[in-house]
Amino acid sequence: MALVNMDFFSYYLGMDTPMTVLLPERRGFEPKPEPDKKYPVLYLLHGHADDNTAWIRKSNIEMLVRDFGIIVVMPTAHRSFYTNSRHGHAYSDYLTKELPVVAANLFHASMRREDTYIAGLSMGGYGAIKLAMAHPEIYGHAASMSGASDAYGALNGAKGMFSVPDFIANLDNVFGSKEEFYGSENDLKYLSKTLEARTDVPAPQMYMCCGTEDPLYPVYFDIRNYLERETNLAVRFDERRGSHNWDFWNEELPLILQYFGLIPGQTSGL
Amino acid sequence: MAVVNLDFYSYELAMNTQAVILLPERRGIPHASHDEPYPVLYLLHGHGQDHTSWLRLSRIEFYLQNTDVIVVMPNACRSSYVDGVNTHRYGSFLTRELPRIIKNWFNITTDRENTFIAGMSMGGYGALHAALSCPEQYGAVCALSPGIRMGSLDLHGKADKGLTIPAVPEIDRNFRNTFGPAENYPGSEYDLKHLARQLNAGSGHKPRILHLCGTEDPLHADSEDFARFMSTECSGLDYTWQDSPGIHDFNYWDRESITMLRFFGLL
Repeated sequence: MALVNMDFFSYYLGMDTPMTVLLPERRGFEPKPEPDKKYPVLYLLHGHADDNTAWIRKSNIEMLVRDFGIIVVMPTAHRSFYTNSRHGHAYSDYLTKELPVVAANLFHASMRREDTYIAGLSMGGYGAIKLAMAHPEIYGHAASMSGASDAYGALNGAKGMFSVPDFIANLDNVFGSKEEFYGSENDLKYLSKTLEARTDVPAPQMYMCCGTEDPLYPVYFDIRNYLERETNLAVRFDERRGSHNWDFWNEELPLILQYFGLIPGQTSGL
Repeated sequence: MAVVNLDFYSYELAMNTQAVILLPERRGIPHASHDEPYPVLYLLHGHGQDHTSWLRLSRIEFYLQNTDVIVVMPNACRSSYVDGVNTHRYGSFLTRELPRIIKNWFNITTDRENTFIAGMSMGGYGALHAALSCPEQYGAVCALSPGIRMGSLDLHGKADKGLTIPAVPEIDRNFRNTFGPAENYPGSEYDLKHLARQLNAGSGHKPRILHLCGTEDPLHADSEDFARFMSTECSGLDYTWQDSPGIHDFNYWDRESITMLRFFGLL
């Protein structure tokens, strides 16, 4: 595929921001003029402490999708949890109000919800499901890998993961506080109820997975239980042996792309 | 502007290659849906440079910051932007493949009136060569300090006069690989005078041409000769020649890129 590393001005972030994009190409074929063709878009969200280059550097995303006419958009969101932060930038607005327009204007990306996919890992997994639950009119498909679906709750079992000097201070800057987080528009349980109540648009196709050795497995298990027992949302869950690392994510990535129908392959065995 | 670093596969070159692309943006204004295709400027680097040179050494992005235009800066290595005798197919890449690829990925116009091509030094030659040989594709061309007689260019001993081509030990061999023996050059598909004569005699589209060169540039004499030729033998072409104080460097090209952008109607 063609690899784009770009910098552009984001109105919602109020600053220049980098982004990595994969564009469809077919090696060895003379390019045909297809000026009016619109491609499906997959937004791939990085995890806490990663950036827009993570997926290219650590996963085999390009190998997986290179023959299948997809635009992959990899933005950066720093440590924002893809949230309009209490004391920070408006990353949720950036993702939902700006990126789809930018992708459609600058590239040949479709803006139809059926053609719009969002997936991520860890903080990005939480972000993908959150944005899709809040904006089913934008995203037709969402996947979370090892999602940090409850960042505060994750601290109970996964303290060792967050070897950063100010993890909780950052969470509070993003979400306000632990008390404010639960029941807010950043809480997946709350969002799943608002999604369920919507009649104007179908719920996105959703996929959530987590490795059984992952320190975030307890928060994954908790949201899985909640979605299964307290809502009627259809979510495909997948748990398999694995931890919070790129081995697990590279194992899951093709399964997600197959589930979405973006690449051919078996979906049985899940 | 938004700056794009692009790595992609070229069918004509049969390998991965790079381009830097500037996309229009308006800082401080929300992105609104935009369906209207943008004018496009293909901007070519010189010998010994690459696709990043214009961005790094000129203020082209600054000059165009509020202009609706897409600037495409491809990498052509040392090819002179032609299908050389013994080189890769950079001419086909530039004129046939690149416009198609860029149109497939970005929102550029296919209207020739709003398709521009320009370059400095080897890129000035490449721009003229592309516009004279594919006049139906380009509305206007600007050559900054172009190498006019690429096939018989003598650059030895000129590096100290500011020529941005550093002394390259096998530069003559490179030009021979590209253009063949010097004696074959006149009247060949690489010869700008030959291409200009053909275009002048034809009845098809004729791009507007702006030719600029610094008076202290070692290539100035060739440019002056080409200007004389154009005014005497190609009077049917819309050709403008301007020289002004300057040498063969980006101080001159940066300054004159304003002249160039005004000529294209982009400023």
